[in-house]
Amino acid sequence: MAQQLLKVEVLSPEKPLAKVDAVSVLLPGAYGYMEILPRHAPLISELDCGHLKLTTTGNESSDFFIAGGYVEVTNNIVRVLVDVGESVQDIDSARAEAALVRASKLLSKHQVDVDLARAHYAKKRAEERLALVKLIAAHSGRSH
Amino acid sequence: MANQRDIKRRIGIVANTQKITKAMKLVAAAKFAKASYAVTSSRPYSESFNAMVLNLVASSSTEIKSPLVKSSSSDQAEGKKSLLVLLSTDRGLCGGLNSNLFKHVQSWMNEQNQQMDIYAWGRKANSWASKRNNSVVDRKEKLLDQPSYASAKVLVDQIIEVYKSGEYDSVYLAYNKFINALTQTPQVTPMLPLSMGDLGEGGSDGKTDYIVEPSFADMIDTLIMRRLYMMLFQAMLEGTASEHGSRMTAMDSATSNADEVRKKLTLQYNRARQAAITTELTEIISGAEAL
Repeated sequence: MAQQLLKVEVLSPEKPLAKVDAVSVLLPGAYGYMEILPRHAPLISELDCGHLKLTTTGNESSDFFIAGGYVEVTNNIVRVLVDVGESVQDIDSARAEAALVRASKLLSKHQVDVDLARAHYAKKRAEERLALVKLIAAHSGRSH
Repeated sequence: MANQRDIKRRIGIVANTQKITKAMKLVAAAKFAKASYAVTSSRPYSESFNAMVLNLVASSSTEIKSPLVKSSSSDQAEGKKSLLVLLSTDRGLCGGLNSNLFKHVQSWMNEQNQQMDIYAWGRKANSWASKRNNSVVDRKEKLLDQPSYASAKVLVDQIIEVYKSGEYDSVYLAYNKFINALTQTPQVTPMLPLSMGDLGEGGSDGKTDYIVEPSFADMIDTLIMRRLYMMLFQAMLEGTASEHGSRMTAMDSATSNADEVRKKLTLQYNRARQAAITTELTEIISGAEAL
């Protein structure tokens, strides 16, 4: 029998990010990272921010940074609806670093008027972005 | 017969008008390219999101206790008013876009035997609604200048607040759906309440037993709210693209009409000129013969 594939669509409000047939999808779910394989049970989950990895046949993968959103899995169709998403190549490291510095500064001040949850989330987003860039860079460095 | 100078002046006027319509067409084309890109690239997201929420609501075995969801069992309350959010453009000169929308809304309202209040969003909606008997509760302008998710959110929050106060039993949204530069279809879609009756409308196979993380109860309210945000945002994008597309087409046909008028006038002018020359010649010749 031919191998079953997942029809994956990654969509953000700005634009569709990807539409591929994949063998597996790795994404940050509400309870931590999860990997979705063909014939997964129907699922709707919230997404955290982090790494979205689509692996296609031939073990090729495309990587994205995503922040918030939902995933719906039905019948080998995976719809990833992200609030913010970008391909790893598009991550602006300088901007992420600046955001990290800004968020850390806000958090270290212990001010009353600071929206703590928001600052924490901004910090997390920046850290995840930077970590992802490093991860991919290390990965491609090894393979060459 | 009109004299030469009159015709010449009219040619000048038509040429000036043509310059204006041509410039408007170019401006609209530039804006249209941007707007149509925005609307087509966000449509898959908003449609999938809508389908997901409907699927999820359909899959729930228990009644959802939320003020935003109408349970299938409860009857429609009698004598309550409905609210219509009418989204139009601010500026005219965009063909029949707004009048088509208003016509559609008018016939739709005639079918509903319920009192309707109107949120007139857009200057054209404003002036249309003012001429009618419905009470216009809210007026806003310049919503379609730069549609953004954040502004849609603020507006939806306002609608939800009014809805929760219990004054209205349903909320509808009327806007122009963008098909392409030549075609825009006016639409009225129900916004609130989300009824358990229209289950799985956007879904593929009705009921599916979903695993829901973190939990159904935690998510459903945010999901419904976000569906509404997205709905209005999408409607705003559709309205913007429709406006620029329609204006582009209207100004294009205005420009070619002006061309035709100009040709006709030029022909008339040449005829008048020729006639004048002929008369003059005849006069000279008959004058010479008389000598």
